[in-house]
Amino acid sequence: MTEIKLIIFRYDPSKDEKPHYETYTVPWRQRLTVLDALNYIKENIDSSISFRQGCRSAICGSCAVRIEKRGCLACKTTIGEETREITIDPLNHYKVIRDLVVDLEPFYERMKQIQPYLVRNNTIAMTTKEMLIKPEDLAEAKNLRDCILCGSCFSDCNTLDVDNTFCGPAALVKTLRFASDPRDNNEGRLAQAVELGLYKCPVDQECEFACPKEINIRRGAIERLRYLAVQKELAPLPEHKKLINSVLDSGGIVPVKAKPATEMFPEYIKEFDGEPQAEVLLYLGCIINRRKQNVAAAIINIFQNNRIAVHLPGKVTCCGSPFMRIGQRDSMRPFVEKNFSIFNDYAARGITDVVTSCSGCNSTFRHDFPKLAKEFDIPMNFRIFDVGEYMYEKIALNVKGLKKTNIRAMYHYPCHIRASGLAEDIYIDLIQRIPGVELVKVPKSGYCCGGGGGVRAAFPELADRLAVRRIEIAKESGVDTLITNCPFCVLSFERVLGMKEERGEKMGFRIIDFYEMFSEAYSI
Amino acid sequence: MEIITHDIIIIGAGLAGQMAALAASQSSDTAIVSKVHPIRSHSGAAQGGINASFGNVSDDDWEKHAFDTAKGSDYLADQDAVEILCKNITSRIVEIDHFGAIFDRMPDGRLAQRPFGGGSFPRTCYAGDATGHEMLNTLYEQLIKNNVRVYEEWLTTSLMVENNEYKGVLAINLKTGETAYFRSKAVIVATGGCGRVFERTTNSHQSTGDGISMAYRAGAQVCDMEFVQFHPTTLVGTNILISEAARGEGGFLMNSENKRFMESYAPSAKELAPRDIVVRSIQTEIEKGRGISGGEFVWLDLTSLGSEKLMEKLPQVYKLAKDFANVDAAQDCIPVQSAQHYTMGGIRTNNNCESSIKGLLACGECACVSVHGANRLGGNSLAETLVFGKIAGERALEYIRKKGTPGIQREAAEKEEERINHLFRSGDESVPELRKELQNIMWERAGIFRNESDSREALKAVKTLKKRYSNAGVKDSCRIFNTDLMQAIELGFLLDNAELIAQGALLRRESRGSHFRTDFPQRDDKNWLTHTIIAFKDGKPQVTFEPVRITLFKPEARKY
Repeated sequence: MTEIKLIIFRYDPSKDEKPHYETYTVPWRQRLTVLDALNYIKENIDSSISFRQGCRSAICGSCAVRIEKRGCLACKTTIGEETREITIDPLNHYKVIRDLVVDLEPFYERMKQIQPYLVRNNTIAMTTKEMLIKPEDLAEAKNLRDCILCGSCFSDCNTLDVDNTFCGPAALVKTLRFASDPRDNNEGRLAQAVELGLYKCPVDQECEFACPKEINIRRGAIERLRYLAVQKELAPLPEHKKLINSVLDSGGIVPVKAKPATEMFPEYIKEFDGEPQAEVLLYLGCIINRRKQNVAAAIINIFQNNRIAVHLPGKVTCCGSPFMRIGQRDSMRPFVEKNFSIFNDYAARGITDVVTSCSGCNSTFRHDFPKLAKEFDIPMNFRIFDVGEYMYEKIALNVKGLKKTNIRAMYHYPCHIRASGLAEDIYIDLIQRIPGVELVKVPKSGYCCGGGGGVRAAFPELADRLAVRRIEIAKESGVDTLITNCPFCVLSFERVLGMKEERGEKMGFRIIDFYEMFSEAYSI
Repeated sequence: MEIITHDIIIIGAGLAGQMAALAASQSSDTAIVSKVHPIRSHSGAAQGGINASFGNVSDDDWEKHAFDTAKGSDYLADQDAVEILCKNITSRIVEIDHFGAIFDRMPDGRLAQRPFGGGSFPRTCYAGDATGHEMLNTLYEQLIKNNVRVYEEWLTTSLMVENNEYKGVLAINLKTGETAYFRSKAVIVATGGCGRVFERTTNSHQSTGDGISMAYRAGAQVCDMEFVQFHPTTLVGTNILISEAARGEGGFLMNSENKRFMESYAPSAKELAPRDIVVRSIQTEIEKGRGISGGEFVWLDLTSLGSEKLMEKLPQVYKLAKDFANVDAAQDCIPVQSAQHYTMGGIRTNNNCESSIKGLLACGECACVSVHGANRLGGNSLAETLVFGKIAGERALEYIRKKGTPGIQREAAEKEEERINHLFRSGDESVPELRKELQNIMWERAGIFRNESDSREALKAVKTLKKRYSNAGVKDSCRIFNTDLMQAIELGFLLDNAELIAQGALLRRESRGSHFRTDFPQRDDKNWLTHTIIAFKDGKPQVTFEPVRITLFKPEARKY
């Protein structure tokens, strides 16, 4: 008989000084859920184990816990036959009452802050008839009604790790639910959302991955609220305006200080003999182009080693991500028009693979541009890839003779890569093809560098705390190196490490760009 | 023991309790005591919708709604109560619509209505297939707006009654394990049904019939407990509800021969016959070996709806099938079987929600007004919560006007505290074991098809289990959030409910609505157009019968 081990957080405040874990063995069966397993333990092994439960069909929200460190519903989580061990913790960011039972009061309180009810003008009298509302006018509010207040998003929120004044994702979803209801007359909702931290979210989507009701929290609620706030001139925040101006002036969020990579390299790069395995358009993004030219060189080198011819058009412009992230959707047109017309030109010449090296650009091209392009009636005759994705999925990657690199590190999975639907395993697998690399498992993928969503510009200290927190998590796992493949993450980590060093704090920690490392392994 | 005083206490924070609280708190110091946070209440699991004769889709009026309800009840509903329900429900829905509930709408902006079992017209208003969730959220939002006091995660263990008059409530604060005495002029019991009596149920783990049992122990009349609704379509194994809306939107049922078997049981209504009829049809198919692969389930086929309609009208059903049965309902049939779903019986009340005990009111599933009689129509339970929740709140306000705050029943309270403390004994019997035995026997002997000997055996078994329960212990000695203790107390409630069900099933020698006796397969209006009333007096259950109030429609043969 197959058995699984459940490693469960236990804490009895009447006798335990501190929490501990206990391991229970439970027989596996088809469609066994974590809640079933907990009940098995309670009924057969240890009746003192405490957890909440209710409907067992993902509608009451009682049984929210963390499974493998991620918030979710125990009733909705099925245990696969291949599973051997599962760790179950109480939700994060709440006081533990006992075992897996937490006090959700902070979550409910934050919810109450936003006036979570329809506010109506007194002039509209109650009638004997229902209000006449067109279905389309309620469509947006309806989409946000699935929330069951389980508190998982609040548990997993990265911002709340370092700033407990943030109202959390569910309160923002609820805000938009009412703000988008034509019957609601509370004009102050958007201003209040801005006040309660609408711009403190680095759009890392950790909440969305936790949400058992699959609510589109980031784009559907947070970025949408930001858009509405911009419409009402409550945003962008002053710091965001500076960022926006920088993009409008120079075509990127970081200013040009040194020669950009697009000027260091020719438009067409093919340094190998014979037919190329593939031919791609490489879109670097402003950070790599202007600040991380060596990463650009590394990517080009990787492609050359794999017989991939590279086109590096110089005239592309910003991906517009900063605009999208802070709610300036209406400013996106020139970015879509310019970039896509260049991409389409190359596509007309048979180069239909657009490969991006910045995960922020990638996610924007993949998620936002297609919708916008449709609105502007711009065709999309090409496909968007991330460099790592291209190496992993599109080509036969040359791994022969990769140089041994003795290193023990943890991979930092960038949120924009995850948002693009690219699995963490792709990058872990690529890294592990380099001989000598030992990767330590991260307790939970989805920790944040603080670099996204305009947080760094508006709340630099919050962003820094997030970066430091991420580094600390690595250190707690006994690692002194993070490998990552997003220039935002790299800059965020380098910034806090630099600041600490300036203050004379020895961090003994380093950040490695995955592409530089991989390129290095080719050089024998 | 802490003493907490309010004018009105409401036990339970589902739709009925919240509605009562909103009404009562307008002009009194009202508090809700609930063993779960309001938003976790089982009302939230209601899916398909709520009936009201808006007539937005076809001509309809309250009388037609009343007729369908009375006929659906197999003429056991009290028709003056049904009249109140059907006349008031449209206003209640307008009210909750104005509170902000997002009901689905027709292109012209009026409320959309879908067909439901036993209804002559599309009469069921809905919010996708999460109508209970939508309504529960809306009322909870109003509770917040109106600052209604909620004692959440307080498990009520008993009602204090003296000389047939309500005096107070004893409850345990689960977070601390401490007991408090709630003193109030009136109490409204709104604790929901007792689905967990049965092995197969769509109900939440919380649905343990607490209020019915407490009121019964306190001497209140309990009515028609033999009428237990089984729902035709629940997922095999987990018995998670798959809404009637699935059939209302055009889904159908198939047996192992790929035959739409409902055509032979209810030629005109087919899948949209009332639940009792569909349940028995499914069970008959299974017993005749026409379950899928000879097993205990049939197919619910939604593939003809098309994936777009499925996602728009039944998104929750789609997700439930996917998450809990690994079935893509747009492509494949869902394996379904019947399971307990609703408690038609409950605390007997008059049309003002007053029980036989002064100051003790009840509303919602735990009450028996009776608007559902022998079989509730889908979409009428949510309707009942709004209409009678409000009446209960308003009636309680009236009742307390001339009332002073009652004195404290110290002796009774101490005795109750002692009873709870006594549960921390080292008994030989295990609570989960007893619960499992109870659920099995009730499903086997007091389920869809019943007879004399099975009912007798069920009653006997429950009595034996009650004796064994007095020797069951709570091993967990920590008082903080002691779910072991909670489950032990709940098992006590379940046992009372089970006894009442089994006793009613044994007594009623006819078949009516959900109560089907194979040894008395016909409805018997001559002898049984009566409610079964059981009250605990002088240390034992006393049975009486009360005639059904027939005011609108003469009973006739029930054909669909």
